[in-house]
Amino acid sequence: MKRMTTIFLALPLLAGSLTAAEPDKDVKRVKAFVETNITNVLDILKNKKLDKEERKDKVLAIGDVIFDLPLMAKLSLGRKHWPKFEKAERKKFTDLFVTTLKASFLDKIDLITDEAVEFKTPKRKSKTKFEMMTVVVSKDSRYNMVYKVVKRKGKWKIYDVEIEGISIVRSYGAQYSQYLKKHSTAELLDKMSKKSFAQPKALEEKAAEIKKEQAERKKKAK
Amino acid sequence: MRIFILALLFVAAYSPSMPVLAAEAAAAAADDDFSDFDDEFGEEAMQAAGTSKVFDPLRGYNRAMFHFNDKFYFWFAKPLARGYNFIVPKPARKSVNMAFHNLRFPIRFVGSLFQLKFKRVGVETGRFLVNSTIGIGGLFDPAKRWLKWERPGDEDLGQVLAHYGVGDGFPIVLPFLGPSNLRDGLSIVPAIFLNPVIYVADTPTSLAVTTGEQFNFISLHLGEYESMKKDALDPYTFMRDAYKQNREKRIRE
Repeated sequence: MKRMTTIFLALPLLAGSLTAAEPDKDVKRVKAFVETNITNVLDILKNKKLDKEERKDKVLAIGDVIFDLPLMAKLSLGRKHWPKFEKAERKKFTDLFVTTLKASFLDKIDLITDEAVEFKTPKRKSKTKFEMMTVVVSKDSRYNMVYKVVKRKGKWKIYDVEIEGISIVRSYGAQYSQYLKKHSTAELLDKMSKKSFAQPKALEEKAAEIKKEQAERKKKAK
Repeated sequence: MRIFILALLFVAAYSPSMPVLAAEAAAAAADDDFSDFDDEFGEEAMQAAGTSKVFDPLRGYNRAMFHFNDKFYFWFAKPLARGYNFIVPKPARKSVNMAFHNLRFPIRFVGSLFQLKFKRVGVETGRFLVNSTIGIGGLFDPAKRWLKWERPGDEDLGQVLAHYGVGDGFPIVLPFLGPSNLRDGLSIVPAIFLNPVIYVADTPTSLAVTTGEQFNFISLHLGEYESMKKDALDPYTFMRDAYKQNREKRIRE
């Protein structure tokens, strides 16, 4: 615990000295960080050689590295609600939040088809925070997607995504805060587990269905 | 003094979590994780974004109308759109969508002009002229393809009112059209007169054309509402807050 505190205390100092010395390099780093990772994700999604499950696994693996999911969970509850959760509950909440987010993302993968992404120059928001605007362009529409990036423990991490002005952390946060007005933390966790576990279950069922079909096709081929 | 201590003990005995909670709250206040992000997710920021404490006096009606729209979508619009998708290929539907968008030029023109966004006025006018002629009534987008005139964000009359300081009032769910607010909902009325269709066709035909426009749009966005609904603990508030955040962003632009 003590070590953690020292790290936390040292962090702003460290980050401060780094960013003050080379502000332009950070902008370039953020840009490279977002651009390479998002390009990778798009390449995987468009790679027809991989089957759907492989694509999902690969994309989620990248997501685990580039997103600070526990931080997002914490921020979504905010100063007001986070302290209401006991230690064990916090862990459970974080897990559920991550599951929900992943399931929601996987669910939207199918909506990505012919999109290309334009990357703009990141804007510095504070010593450690940047906003990187991107434009997702498809044949008949374009929408703005902002990746919010922070440097923590020497690594760049995405802590929020804004799609046409709608922030993920803020939207989820508003939902939790609304629910907690009339319900307990335990009830929220219960509701979340029912909701988010329903999704992977549906995904699993779908995957099983596809596998079954493939097996049947193979049988027929034989 | 003694009474005070006794009282404290009493409180501590009956709600053992109280001091713990206070300590936790203090820890959270000093928590860097939060102070680093207060400008975005702190109480003030959430209020500004309209995601905490929403003034929603019509919430009873709104929820009922939201429910109605939801059922209308799943029982009627979606099955119909699926059939339509099966018959009409996607590129054709996209072209139709673009043509309708082109036809809606007057509202974007007036919206940009009244907000004194002259660059947008220019881009919109140029795009309209090129796409209406060479792009065959807007079915294609040569302005973007050859001249690199990208479509700017759509301006409308609600944004004009906001530009001159009119607040959004409160949320209203419109029948068939979905989440809106008092300001944006009222601005639909003058917007009708900026739709060129009403000047060339009688009222039933205009209505049919507008319905077709919305229907074609839905056919291109099947699955998005479903996916959003799955994410939400409470779909009504989720949509309401998302609408507000999106409008705020478009007004800022």
